Amino acid sequence: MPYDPSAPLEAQIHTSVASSLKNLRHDPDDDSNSYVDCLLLHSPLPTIEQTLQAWKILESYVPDKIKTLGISNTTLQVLQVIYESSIIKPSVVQNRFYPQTRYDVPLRAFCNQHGITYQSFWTLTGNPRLLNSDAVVKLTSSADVSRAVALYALVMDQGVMVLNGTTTAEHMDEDFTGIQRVREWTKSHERDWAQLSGAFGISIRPQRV
Amino acid sequence: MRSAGLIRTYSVTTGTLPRIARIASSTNRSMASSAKPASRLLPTGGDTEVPFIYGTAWKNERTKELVELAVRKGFRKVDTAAQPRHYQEPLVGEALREVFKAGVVKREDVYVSTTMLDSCVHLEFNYPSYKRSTRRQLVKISITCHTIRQLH
Repeated sequence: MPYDPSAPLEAQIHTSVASSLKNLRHDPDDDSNSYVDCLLLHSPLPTIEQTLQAWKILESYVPDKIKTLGISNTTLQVLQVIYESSIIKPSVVQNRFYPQTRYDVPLRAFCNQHGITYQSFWTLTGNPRLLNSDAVVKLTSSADVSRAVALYALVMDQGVMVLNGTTTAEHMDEDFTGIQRVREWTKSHERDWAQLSGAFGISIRPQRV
Repeated sequence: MRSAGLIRTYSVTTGTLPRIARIASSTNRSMASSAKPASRLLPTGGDTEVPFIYGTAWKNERTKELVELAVRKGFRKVDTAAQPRHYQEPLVGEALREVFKAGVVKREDVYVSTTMLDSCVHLEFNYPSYKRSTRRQLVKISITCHTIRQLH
């Protein structure tokens, strides 16, 4: 990692931000005007005090070098404390979307209420059950898309922005055209879509795992 | 019509309903928690961007070519991390400079997100994952201290 793990937290953060700004500079010859649109804390730190300390340090970069702040791998409890304690409120939560967190239903509701974008990762990998769910199977055949696209569409419909790490041009094309195809299909099948969307919502309501 | 016929016969699996209702009542979730957030698939008000963000984990030396490809294919958001074990942030930057130079997009058209302080425990294990390819791959998963507490 681009910092010394034994260094004080503040030094680690400043070193890491400087490294990211250099790596992601848009001008090859000059990183003085580099910025990132969002910087995410990878996860809550071991204590809430450290988490808030890290957040406060990151706030000093907003809005010039960092446009918005977010946090990954968080619980609703930690997110609420950050939200209540911060000057720069969280803009993004990036969490694994899978049954073990019961799909973060209350956390996602909090995000929705406070204008926070919820980004999902592991959306396909972590959800073999959802890929075989009635809603996904029926949308796959009705809209003539892949199961991956059907699941992505139903997750997006829940207000989620989806991490997509595909490594082939074919899947990239399939994913973009597939989402557009689902959008078109919903326009001419409003009632069917409402049923599918509702059924999918029920399938990700809290269940014991 | 094929699609309409399929949908009409659809019904919610009744076997799961009592269980969901029981858990929902026992956890005393508020009404606000169960409200469905606004759809990003069908957003109101003219936003037609497909809500994907391109993930760059485990791309290794292919990171640059794949991020370039992703932008050319339509991704306008890219996610990376200051964590060389799983991400190649410098190659993400190289790829973006290439597409800016080629005039595919401007910097202000792209949303660049990075992550920091992945300083907790890391484990690697096999996960029986859904894959579009037939090959099962070793998936490296970064597990945070926080996640480990949840798992135990």
